[in-house]
Amino acid sequence: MGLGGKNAIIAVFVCYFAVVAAIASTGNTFVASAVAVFGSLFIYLAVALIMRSHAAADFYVAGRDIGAIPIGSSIASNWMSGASFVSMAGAIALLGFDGLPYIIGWTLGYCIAAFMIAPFIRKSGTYTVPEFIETRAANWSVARLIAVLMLFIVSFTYLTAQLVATGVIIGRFLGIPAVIGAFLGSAVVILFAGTGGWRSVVWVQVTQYWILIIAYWVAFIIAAFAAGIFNPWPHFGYGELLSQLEAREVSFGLLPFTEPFARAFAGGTGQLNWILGALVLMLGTVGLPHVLSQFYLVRDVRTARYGVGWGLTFIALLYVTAPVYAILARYAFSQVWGMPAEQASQLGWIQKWLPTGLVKLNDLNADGIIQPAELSFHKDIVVIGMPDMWGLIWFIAVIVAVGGLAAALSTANGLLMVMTVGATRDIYKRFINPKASEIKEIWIGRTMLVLLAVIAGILGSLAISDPTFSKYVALLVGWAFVFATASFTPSVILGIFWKGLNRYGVVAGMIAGMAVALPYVAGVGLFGMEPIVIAGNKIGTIAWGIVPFFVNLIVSIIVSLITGGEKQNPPETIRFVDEMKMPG
Amino acid sequence: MGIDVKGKKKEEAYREYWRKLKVITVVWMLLWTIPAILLHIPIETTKSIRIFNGIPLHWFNAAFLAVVIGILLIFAYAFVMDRLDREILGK
Repeated sequence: MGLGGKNAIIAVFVCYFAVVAAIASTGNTFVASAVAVFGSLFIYLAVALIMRSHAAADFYVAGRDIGAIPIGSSIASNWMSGASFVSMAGAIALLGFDGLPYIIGWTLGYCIAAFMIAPFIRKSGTYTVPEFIETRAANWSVARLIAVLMLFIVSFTYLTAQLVATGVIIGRFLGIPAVIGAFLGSAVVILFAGTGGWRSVVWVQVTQYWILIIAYWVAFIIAAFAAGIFNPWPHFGYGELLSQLEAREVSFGLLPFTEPFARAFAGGTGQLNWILGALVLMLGTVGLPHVLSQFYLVRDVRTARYGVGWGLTFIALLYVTAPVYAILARYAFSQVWGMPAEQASQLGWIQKWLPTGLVKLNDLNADGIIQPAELSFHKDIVVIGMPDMWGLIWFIAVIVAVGGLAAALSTANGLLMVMTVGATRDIYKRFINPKASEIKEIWIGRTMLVLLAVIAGILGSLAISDPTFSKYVALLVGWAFVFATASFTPSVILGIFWKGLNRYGVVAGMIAGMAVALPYVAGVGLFGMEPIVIAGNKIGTIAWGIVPFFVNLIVSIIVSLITGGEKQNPPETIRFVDEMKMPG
Repeated sequence: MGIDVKGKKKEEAYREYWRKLKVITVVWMLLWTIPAILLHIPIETTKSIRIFNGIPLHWFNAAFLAVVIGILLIFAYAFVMDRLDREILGK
């Protein structure tokens, strides 16, 4: 971007801080909070406008001109959802060691992306994942249709979850109904993405990354300081605090926090479920269309490789911090155990969060003392309530809200772009009007964008107002990883590394993978089917994904070989694969 | 670099490049199994080892070390592949 653009963005930031500080200095903290939260939306809009452009290549793939560190920040904020920001530390606070598959599972997939996918996807010269699959399947439109259908199923559920998170965050901090918050969220992402497609979205995501990570860290550093774990650094300094926490847990008859395989992960138990669960999250990550699409935007292959490295570095800044957050929160909770109920209900943070239902205090045995089971908490309280638990100054809570909003919006934006490009390029331009002019294409793109965002907004507000629907959305987001592991991941990897894969192999593999994945996750996750037990380990819905992954691989290989293997592929398909293997 | 990148020689050089790339990919995927799988197998041993004043090693491995190893592996891969690209393109 030009120097003028950079200066303009800095100027917008300075104005934002000046206005918020001026209002805060008048002592009206509620107005200052509202301006801070809504003002952050104007920053993103300003960035989107400054970076906008009118060329189709900018709209679809940001002109393929993004450098390593910007794409790294964009990869990170595209990846880290509202749930990563708000709920992950809380999930670990609830699950202890058994929640850690989320940490390694949602990070180490980027290694697979770096070694086996990103550089080659960039070299392929295609624009979208369905286009990649179709080209690899010797231009068979059936393959593209199946791929675009998968893309929509996975991305729509994910986007709905993001709008729920946006609605809840806006609602919680500003006291407006979450349903309206969800619509507001969808309106906002339309503005960001509609201005300049991927090119605007990438730079908005870059801005959002730095806002979200600073927000996460500001609250963390101050809480860590209050807890005295700066010896020498919070990520290594919590040993003593953890020992105290675990001693306290044992004295109350609980299992220690770090005790392995004591709680269920995704409906399964045991070490095998833990390891397989983490592996499926890794394999699923690299098969998610909105993750794959990011690799199209970089300047060159070299940037793709380093960009993924920066991406994981930036993701790790949040992901290795979440477990420490979890311990800080759990320690704060443990301090309430054994406290007289009267005294506990006077604690500032409990008073503040009790009305929201995120914390529940209930003296079940009426002995006047709070037992661990009598203090229950929702996982979102860990990050949202942290500033209050450790008695931090009021504006830390606002910073956390702005960060959570940035996390939810950046992922929503990426998802919306992937679906928009899918609808425009993979459906409209491919099947309806291949001769569309560039200008018409972009306008069709914008129309699709608005349409998709409005539908997702409706689904999001439905999820907020209907708990049953909301439960399905949450389940589907978890399953998205299993579906991606069953379909895109093996097909893309095989398509790059094995010339023998032909059109029948690709399609048969994806269908077989889904056919093995769907009945099990639906049966166990939804209809109360008993999970399979291997050597005492219950295999949960996520861990199961490893089976469809291999089924897809094996079926793809067998069907390809039966139908003529490499000989089935026309010369242009062979050339397509060969080009991906060229250096540089 | 004295590789003549023309005609047959070029094709040979590219085939050699792809062969090396496949070896590198296999090596790095094997290295990846360390943070992704192997580190988390000897749990019975690692859970009784405490580091940094009381953090159990099995926890620290999954909550911190594995992710950091992953980052280092990606940058090491990028560095090695970058060098291979330059070598073959004679830059």
